[in-house]
Parts: sequence; C-alpha cells; structure tokens
Amino acid sequence: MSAQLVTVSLLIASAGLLAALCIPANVSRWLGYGALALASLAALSGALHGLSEGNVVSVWLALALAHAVVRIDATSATFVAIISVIALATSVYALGGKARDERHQGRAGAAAANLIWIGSIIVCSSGDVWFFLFGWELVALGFYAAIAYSGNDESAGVAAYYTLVITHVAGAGIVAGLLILAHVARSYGVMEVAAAGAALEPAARTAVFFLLLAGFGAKIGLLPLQGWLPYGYPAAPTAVAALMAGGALNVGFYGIIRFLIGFGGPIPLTWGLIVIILGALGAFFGIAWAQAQRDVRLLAAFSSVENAGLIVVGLGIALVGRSVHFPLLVGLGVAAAYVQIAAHALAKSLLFLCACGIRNAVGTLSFESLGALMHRLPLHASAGLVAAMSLAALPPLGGFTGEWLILESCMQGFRTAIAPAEVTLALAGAVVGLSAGIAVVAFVKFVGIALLGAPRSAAAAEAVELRAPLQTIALVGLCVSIVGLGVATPWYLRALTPAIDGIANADIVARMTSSLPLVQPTYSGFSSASGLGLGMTILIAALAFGILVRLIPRPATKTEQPWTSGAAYAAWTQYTGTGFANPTRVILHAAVRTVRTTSGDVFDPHSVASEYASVSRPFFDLANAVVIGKAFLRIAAVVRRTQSGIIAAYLSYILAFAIAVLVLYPSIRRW
Amino acid sequence: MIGAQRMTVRAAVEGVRAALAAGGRFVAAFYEEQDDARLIRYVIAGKTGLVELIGIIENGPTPALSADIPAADWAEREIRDRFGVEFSGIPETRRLLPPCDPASYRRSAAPEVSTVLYGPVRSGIVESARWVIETAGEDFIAVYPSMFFKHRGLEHLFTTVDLGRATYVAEHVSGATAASHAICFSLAVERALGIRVADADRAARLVLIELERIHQHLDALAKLADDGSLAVGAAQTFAAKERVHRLLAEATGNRFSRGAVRIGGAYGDLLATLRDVCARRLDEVEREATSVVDGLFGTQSLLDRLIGTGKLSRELVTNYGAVGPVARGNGVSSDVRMTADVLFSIGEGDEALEEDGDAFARARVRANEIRRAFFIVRDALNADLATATPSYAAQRSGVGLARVESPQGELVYFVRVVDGRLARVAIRSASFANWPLFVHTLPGNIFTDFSFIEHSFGLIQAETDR
Amino acid sequence: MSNWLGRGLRRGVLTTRYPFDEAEMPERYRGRVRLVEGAPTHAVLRAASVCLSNAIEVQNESGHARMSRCFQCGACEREAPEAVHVSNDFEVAISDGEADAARHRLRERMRSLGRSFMIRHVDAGSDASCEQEIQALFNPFYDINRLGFFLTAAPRHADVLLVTGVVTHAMAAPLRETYAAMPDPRVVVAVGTAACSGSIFLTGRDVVGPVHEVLPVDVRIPGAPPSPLSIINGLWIAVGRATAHLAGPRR
Repeated sequence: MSAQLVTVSLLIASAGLLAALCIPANVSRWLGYGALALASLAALSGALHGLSEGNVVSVWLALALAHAVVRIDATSATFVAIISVIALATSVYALGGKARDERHQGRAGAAAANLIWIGSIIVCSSGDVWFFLFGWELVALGFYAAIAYSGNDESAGVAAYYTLVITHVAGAGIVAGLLILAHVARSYGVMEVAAAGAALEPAARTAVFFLLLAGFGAKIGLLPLQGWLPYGYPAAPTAVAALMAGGALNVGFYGIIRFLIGFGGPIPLTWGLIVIILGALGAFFGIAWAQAQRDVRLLAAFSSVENAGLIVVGLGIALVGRSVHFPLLVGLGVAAAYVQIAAHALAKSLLFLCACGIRNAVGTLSFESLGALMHRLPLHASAGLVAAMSLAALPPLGGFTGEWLILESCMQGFRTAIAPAEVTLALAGAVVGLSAGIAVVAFVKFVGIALLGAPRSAAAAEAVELRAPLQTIALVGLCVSIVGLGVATPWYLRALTPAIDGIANADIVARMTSSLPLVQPTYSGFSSASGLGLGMTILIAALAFGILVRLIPRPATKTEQPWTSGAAYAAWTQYTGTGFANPTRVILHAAVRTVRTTSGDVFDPHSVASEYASVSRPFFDLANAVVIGKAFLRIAAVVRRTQSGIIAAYLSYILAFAIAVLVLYPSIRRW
Repeated sequence: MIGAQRMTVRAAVEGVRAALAAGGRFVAAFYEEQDDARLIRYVIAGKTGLVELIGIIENGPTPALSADIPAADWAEREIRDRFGVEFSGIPETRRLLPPCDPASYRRSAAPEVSTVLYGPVRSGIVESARWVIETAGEDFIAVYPSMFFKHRGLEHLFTTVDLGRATYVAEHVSGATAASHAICFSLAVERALGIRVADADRAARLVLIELERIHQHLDALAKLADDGSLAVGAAQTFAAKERVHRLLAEATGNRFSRGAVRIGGAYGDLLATLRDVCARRLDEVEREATSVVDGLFGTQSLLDRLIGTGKLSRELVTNYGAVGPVARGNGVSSDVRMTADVLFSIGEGDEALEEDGDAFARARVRANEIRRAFFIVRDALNADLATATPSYAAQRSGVGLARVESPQGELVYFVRVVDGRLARVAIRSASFANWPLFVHTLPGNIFTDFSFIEHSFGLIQAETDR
Repeated sequence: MSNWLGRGLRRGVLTTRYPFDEAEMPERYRGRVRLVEGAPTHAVLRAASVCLSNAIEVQNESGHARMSRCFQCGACEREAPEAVHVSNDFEVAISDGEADAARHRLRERMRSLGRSFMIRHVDAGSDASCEQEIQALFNPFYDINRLGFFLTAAPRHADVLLVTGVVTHAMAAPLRETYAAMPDPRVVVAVGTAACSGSIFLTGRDVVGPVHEVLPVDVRIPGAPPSPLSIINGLWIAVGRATAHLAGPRR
C-alpha cells in the first residue's frame, strides 16, 4: 500500500510538472503547485502507512525498455514523510501567493519544485541503484532549473553554474562508488549494494566510502564542499528555496544513512572519527560565517551548513558505534540525527518562507534595509521568530531537542574506552556547544535587526503583508510542527521506531522513551529532557507573569522617543547588522576573514563622500577554489591538444587502444 | 607689530600664502565692517611676531585659503556662515555653524556602516558638542565634528558694553580660563589706547595666569586618570586642583580669579594680596600638585593607556597651525611666553617639548608646565620691581592685537576702540585652533579611546563657540 | 608603582561635613550681596548703575539685590561701599514655592529608596567654569556621594537635571529632549547666574534666555561660578532637605 501510494504521488507530480511546463501563465502555476500539494499528501500518507506497517513493499514499474523499483522500507518512509511535509507546506504557501514577482517566476518555480520533489522522492524510495542515480540527477537538474530560470537579476548564472558543477562532480563520486559496489554485489538492488562493502579490499573500501561521503556531503553542504550553498540558495526563488533547503537537502542524509551507516562489513574507527571531525568543523565554521552575513538568505544558507555539520556529527557517532559494536550508540546517533533532520527541515523551510514574505513585501532581504517588520508583517515575522528560535536551539522547540540529543551522544565517548574516540567525541561536543552559542548571536541578529527596531529604509516602513489564508495555513502549520516536535519528541521517535531500531538492531526507541514524556539517551540513568515539561513551564510562567503584571498597580507611564544624545530620533542612528555582529566577527576573525576597502581619506574634512565596503571571505569559498581550478585548466589545455580534429589522429588513437587491449587482455581477464 | 596696510583681499590672500611659505604660522582671519567697507584681517605668526594683512572684500567671491591651508578652514567657514561672505574654493560646502542637519554629514554610503550621533548632550559633566561618528562596530570609520552649539554671541556683546566693564564680558567667554581672557583682552585694549600697566600689576597678572595654568592642567590630568579608571589618582588630582582654587578664592575673592583684572592693571593691590596669601598657602599647593603629578606618572596602568593613543604627526600639527600642549606634544613650539611682551619670558630651553605626539606626550608637556609654573609664580612674587606708575589712556581710539599663553595655548584678541567705545572685538582662542585636529587622531582607535584623546587635548568648548 | 593608598591615608579625611555642619568660605570670597539698611539713595543708584546685569533693583528709594542676576564681580561694593555689602555667605540658592510638590515626592522617594539621587547634567551654553565646579563636587573635599547624589548618563534614570549656562538657540531643543526623557518625579536645578537669569546675555540675539524660559525650574543657584558649597546647598533644597533663604516669583 505504501509503495503504491508513493508511485501514485510520483505520477501526480509528473503531471503537475508537465502542466507547469506546457500550459502558459497563471493557470499552470496553480496546476503545478496544486499537483505538488496533492502528490505530497499522497506520499505522506503512504510513508506514514509504511512506517506503521513496518514491512518492506516494492512496486516494479515498467518504463519503456527499463524497469524501476519503488521500495518503501522504514528509512525510506521516514525521509519521504519529512520531504513531503515540507513540500506540502511550500506548495500550499505558494498557492496562496499573489505577489507580482512570484507570478513571473510562477511557472518556472512550479516546474522546478515538482522536478525537485520527484527527484527527491525517487532517491529516497528507489529500490535499485540506477533509479537512485536517476532521481539524484533529477534533483540536480531541478536545482539548476530553479536557479537559472528564477528571473532574478542577481548572479543567477554564476550561482546555477556553481550549483550544477559541484553537485555533478560530487555526483560523479556517488556514481563511481555505487557502481563499484554494484559490481561487487553483482546486483543493482539498493540493499545488496549497501551490504556489498564487506566484499571489497580495504583500500577499495576506503576509497568507495569517502567517494560516497564526498558525494552526499556536497548535497548537504558538508565541509569542505559547502561552497555552492551561499550562491545557490539566495539565487533561487525564495519559496522554491524553502523546498530545496528544507526538503531536498535531506536526500544527502538519506544517502549517508542508507549507504554509509549501512555500509557492509566492519567499519574502522578512523572513518567515524573523520566524519565527526568534518561535521564539528562544519558546524562551527558554518555558523561563524552565518553571523557575519548581511543577507537573510545567506544567513540561512550558512545555517544549513551548520546544521548539516551537527547532523553529520550524530551520524558519525553512529558510525563509531558500529566500529566498537555498541548498538545503543548507533541507535542514539541515528535517533539524534533524525530529530535534528526533522527540526532543521521544518525550521529552515519556515525561515525561507518568512524570507519569501519579506521579499515580496519589502523587495529586499538585506539586513541594512529591514527593520520593524514585526509590526508591518506580523504573521511572517512571527513565523520567522519561531524558525529563528528553533535554529538557535531554544526550548521548547524542535531544534533544542535535536541539539540536546546530539550533545548527549557526544558525551557518550567514555563508554568506548578508546582514547582517540573519547577525545574526538569530547572535542566535538565542545565545538557543537560553541556553535550553538554563536547561533544565538546569528539569530538574535536576524530577529533584532530585521524584525524589531525601526525601519531602516522607506520600503520597510511601507511594507504591507499580503494576508492569504493559504499562506497563513502553511506558516501556522509549520510553526505548530516545530513546537510539536520539541514538545512531543518521544512520540515522534516512537513513530520512527522501525527506522531507528532497524539500523541499530536493538530496541532503541523503547529505551529512549521509556519514561514519557521524557526523552533520554539510550543509556538509562544518564540524563533526560522533557520538551513537554519545558513547554508547559514556559507557558505557565508567561501566563503567571502576565497576570501578575495586570494585578500589580503600576505608575503612569509616558511614551517618549528613544534617547539619542538630545537629537530628534532618526532610524539611521540604529545599529546595523554588521555593527551588532562586529564583536563576534572580530573574535572569530581567523574564520571570518573580512576584507575592508575604503577609498578616499575618510578623515579629510574636505572629502564629502567616501566608499566603504567589507566582504567576508570564508575559506573554501568558491572564488578561492579558482586557484585549484587553474591547475585543472592547465591539464585540460594539455589534453585538449589531443583533440585536434584530424581524422588520422583519431584512427591512430583507436589502433593504439586496440593493441593495448590485446596486449593487456590476459592480465585484465585475471583481474 | 601692528601697522598693517590695506589691500584688496586677493592681494592679502597672496601675501598670506607668501608669509606661510616663508615659515610663518596661520593664526586667524577676523572679519570686520568699517565705514561701509568689509575687511578680512589675516594674522600670521612670523619669527619676530604677529604680521597682519588687511584685505578689503570686493564684489565677487573672495579667494579661499582652505583648500591647501587646513589651518584657515574653520576661520573662513565661520566667516562664510556667520557674516555671509562669499568664498570661492572652500572644499567643504556644508555649514560649520548650526543649524545643520546631522544626516547631511554622513559620508559613507555603505549600508553596513552605522552612524552614531554623539552629542550635543553627552555623558558626564562635559560641555556640549556633537560628533557624527560612522562606525562598523567599535572602530572609527569617519568622524565629523559639529560644534558651535554654545554660540552666545559674545563678540557682539562686547560692543554693547562700556570699556570699564568690558573685562567682565571677557571673563564670560571662558569662565574656566577667565584670567587668560581678561588679561588678553585688557592687553589688547591697552595696546590700542596706549595705556601702560604698572609693573606690580603686570607681575600680579602673570601670577594669575600661571596659577590658572596649574589648575587647568591638573584638571586635564585628573580627567585622564578618571578615564583610565584610576579613581584614587583622579580624586587626589582633583583635590590638588581644589587647593589652587581655594588659594585663588582667598586672594581674589573668586575661585577662578574673576573680577580681579581690569583694563590698565588690576583691582586693588593685587600683588600684595597675592604675596600674602601665597606665603601661607603656596608651599602646600605646590607640594600637593607635584606629588600627585609624580604619582600619576608612576602608575604604569595609566601610562599604558596613554602611550600610543591619539597620535598626531608633526606635519598635521604644523599644517593645522595647532598651538599649546597639543602642538608641543609633537615638538612644535608656539609658546607665547617666549615671544610676546610679558614681564618675565621663559628662555628657549625652558619650553616643554615632546616628540611622540600621543596622549602621553601631551600629558608630559602639561606636567612639565605645572612644575615650571610654580617657578614663574615664585619669581614673580619675589621680584624686585620698579615702582613706575601707570599712564592712562593716551588716545581714545585705536586698534590692538594681543596674545597670551592660556592653558590651552595661544589666545589672540583683536579690539578696535572708536571714541572710547568698543567697535569690534574678535577672538581666536587656542581651542578654536586645535579642535579641527581632533578627528585626525581617531583612525586606528576604538570608542573607548575617544575620551582619552579628548581629555589629552584639554580644550574648552565655550571659547570655541563664544 | 605609585603608592596611592599610602598617599591617601597620609592626607587623612579632607571632606567637609557641610551640610550637616557649618562651613565657611574665605573672607574675601564674594558671595551674597546685601544692601545696607538706610543707605543714601544716590549711593544705591550709583551701585545699581555700575552693575552690568542689573542685579540691584531700586524701588521707592530703597534697593534690593536680586541674587539670581548677580555674577559676583564686586563692582557695586567698590563703587558704593556705604550702600552695598558683599559677604562670604555662599548659601544663595533660590527656590520657588510651586515646586514643593515635586520636592515632596522626591523626599518621600528618598526615604523609601535608600536616599540616593541620580543627577543628569546638561550644558545649555555655559562658560565652562560651572562644569568644573560641578565636577569638583565629586572630589574628596566635597564628595557629594556621601549625601546620596550620583551621576548618571541616562536621563531615564535621572531624578535631578542640572542645567548650566544660558540657553542658546541650538541647545534649546536638546535641553527639552533631555527633560522629556526623564521620568517623574524630576527636579530641575539651574546652576550659575547665566542659567538662573541670563546674566549679561539677555541683550544677545543668539540666546533664548535663562533656563526657566525653556523648562520649569525648581531651584536656582546663582554664582559665577557658584562654589561647590553653594551647589550642595542648592541640591539639598532641591531634594527637600532644606528650605531656601529666598522664595517668591522668579525674576
């Protein structure tokens, strides 16, 4: 039943894609997003059905001369559910949109959204490796389409190019890895391929593992392959960016869980530690770059890098658990990752939808032009506030529980009794804590500069919110989901029981949720957290405070303008976002390298205007990668000489190759 | 010194350029209206004294010096804004005087730069002035001073008062340095009218100026100590300053020696009173002052904050024509006591000169001047004086230019007396000359250094804005 | 490293006990101006004519010195010593009866909040000497912290607004903004003759006038500048701990 529903949903989405592509203008936008909404609803119900049933269901599709398998097991169902929830919210929001620029991008956006969704679902529910790769390419194509045809005047071309190149290069790694595994497994089924790692030699195993890690890591924005995110996300239409950042991102995590945590054979400890180190560094650098950004979408993009790092830390701990044969640790790592994946998906898409609303109302997403949006756009601003609180890991929201579980899993290092593992996990825990602190700075900057204060530009002062009921439903639904995830984490984990227990081969969830409503790490008696308790306490305390304030008589108050040294208040005397984040930028200057240029003698009283510009250049910035690219270009220039276009040269190449094959055939055959 | 001839303003400007090229220092540009003619009187300090060039403004714009001579910038802009004289070639088109919209002073168009309006109501017990500070966080990107909030129209007020009581107006220009202003004004009128002052009164005036120098320098050092969170040191230094004020109250009836000086001398036998009071009090005042200054310079934590802060270059100081401890911190000599006509002049080697140009150098200049001031006071009190009687006004009209070394630096008064009444009084205070230099000390420093540098300049807003 | 502690201990206690005990200024100090009883009218008129700020008022052949206008130059006594006597009395603060309500509230609050007042100072156009005398209030000789007065930079936290100087055109609006930014109860104290009455500036076209042209003033402390003891006296009156020598409509 589950796989059938998913297949039906894929067909609906394909119909929506065709409609968006072929039918002109407004109607196609409605059809496209409507189809996406229906499809995600169908897929969601199918996934939930699959989780509750606990079986593996496959559907064989005959497609022209090939066939494909849609296979829903617990892991697939989880990811299909998460991506479908995000797609549902995004498509409902987009259906409610009336803004002019959404209309222009409407068709392209709807088509791209459908394409991305189809690709993601195929990746997560494919039963064989070819279908998996087909889905992966569809996602890459969908990203490219979203960015390239978004109608933005900004550097959409460069952004699309970077996105495509990096995901393709990474995808090449995935292709290579999966095909090697398939060759060894002598089958293309996903489960067989995953288990085939056992049969490879150690050197090949390492190569395949890290190729796959690189490929999946590039999709999620794992260091050092995160360079395309800050170009890609801002360039896409913001509603589709919600789907990209909140929904499609998760295919990378799916790949890691399916192929890396499910990697056949013994996993050396060093692999897990390397993954943890990459994750921790990614978390720290991601958020350090995020707080220095001046555009809301860039802040969100780097926050995705941070969250990817956090989730990968959890998954790395699961790998360590596999190395030392601790199923409880594996389950804890995976459970922590699942909670954080869901929390990040919900919060990130909510943040992007809020950004979409801001963009439509104000016209810009640069911090220095925003301000006082909580008054002008109350719905979107409140949604942005909830998203920011979750990403900054504040209780009782989902982000808090996810990060708490990841920290808890970092603390279990002592159980391994292996020194490198203990040290790495401890350091990773410290770095995760540090990045949580910097995340607070970044999101306080977002809320304080963009949503509060006085408007910094005329556009912000005159912003008007478009109150569409569908948009309200989408935003409120996501907010409720985030709060629900935080408050009702044990029930969420219980819903994922087949997924988590299946990977760890132990009854993980029962141990974690043994005393409702608390959530505990798998090791009993270590610690526990109650999202429900925290939520109730906060609610009751807020109510009590509100009542107390009403009861106590207060002296009369008068309202005056803010104090500005005796001058009339002007909005331009406020802090800018850069000014607020300056101390952190200075302290973290090794990570956030800012290049400042000033022109003119700024202290010359005769100079009337001066130029000031500051740019932060994270390393692994793609502009820096040009250096590496130059080497490749030089090699390519050399190789190009072989492509001379002369028939005789090509014939001699064929002859040489034939002789080589004949000569080497015996040794090839042996191999 | 006086005896300038009139020429067209164009020729006067050329003359100024020539004088400056010959090693002179730009002092002031005073605007006057006399018998339907509008004049600008340029004053340059040459090697032998002050040189004046009087330019008659003609139809058409007056050529400006500001573009290449920064020292003339504020003087010309004030004439432009206050008297409506049209200049050609002033690079800064925005007003120097209020009313001015602070938004127009923002220079950086970059959106990530915040603009802080610092003033006019600032924190602490300070005078009102405003700076428009552009910053990206804590450092200074651009700073624009917006002053003259305290303009009370004193130069005009002089012309409504009779000569006998005009010194009271001079004391109101800057109450903290009342003695310097009263004495400089009196000197200018005495020069204009040919009045000779008795030696006893000249010695008394010298004592008043040097005591004023002591309490103003102690004030500056105490504020530096306060900025450096050296609370005990600051309290002790303010206490030393208090003792000087008590001595002055006992001798002159006012803690700032107001109402003691008059045109032609001083009221009563001021020197005898000063001798009497100083015999009882001066030793203790000197002991306290020198001991507290030694203490401040022995506190490394304070010196660490001062060394390297607010650095000026010698080139800036000479280009802006800076005076006083600000200039002496860079080794630029401008001490009027060495050149002007005073009772006792200090020799060339006695001038306190430093090299580094940072806040520490300026503080050292002040410390040396405090010590030197006590010597001068004792010399003046113990001097054997001729008993010449003063002569009275030789004429009823005249023009006088006088300068005095106030605690902040060279103070210049120009007066024109017509038939026993003041027709024009123009003032160029040391603070007016030094304030334009302030923003140049700020690059490379952060917000917390601002008050250090401001107090190391030790300037007075009231005499700037007058 | 300097031994500040030893230095301070050696000097002992410098602080005056005023206003809990008597204090005296030097004999020559020019404080309160009084007209001698029964002085000849022509002498009084001579004294009045020599005063630059019209502080001596002659009515019906008798004279009255308005301290709010006096900037203590001593010219009147020099001109007519038989009619004018300048004493070293430094308690010259003037307050108006209408301000009692504010003072009463401040006094009540003083009892309940532990006797501390926050002072905010604004320079509206002074000649810099009043600032140095207010700064002197915090030196060891006067130490007004012992009386519960503290300095604050935020007008939101201020109880007492000290204004120095005659109000210039450019400073009128900032002064009003500062006053508006202070919560009730608040007391305004004008320090210095220029702030109390405009002194010699009322003929100027660049000034608005004394502080009471711009804000409601509770206590005026004349002097040029008023000595720290005079300011302590004025502050003590402002917070309702003492009554002024002179009350009545402001001139």
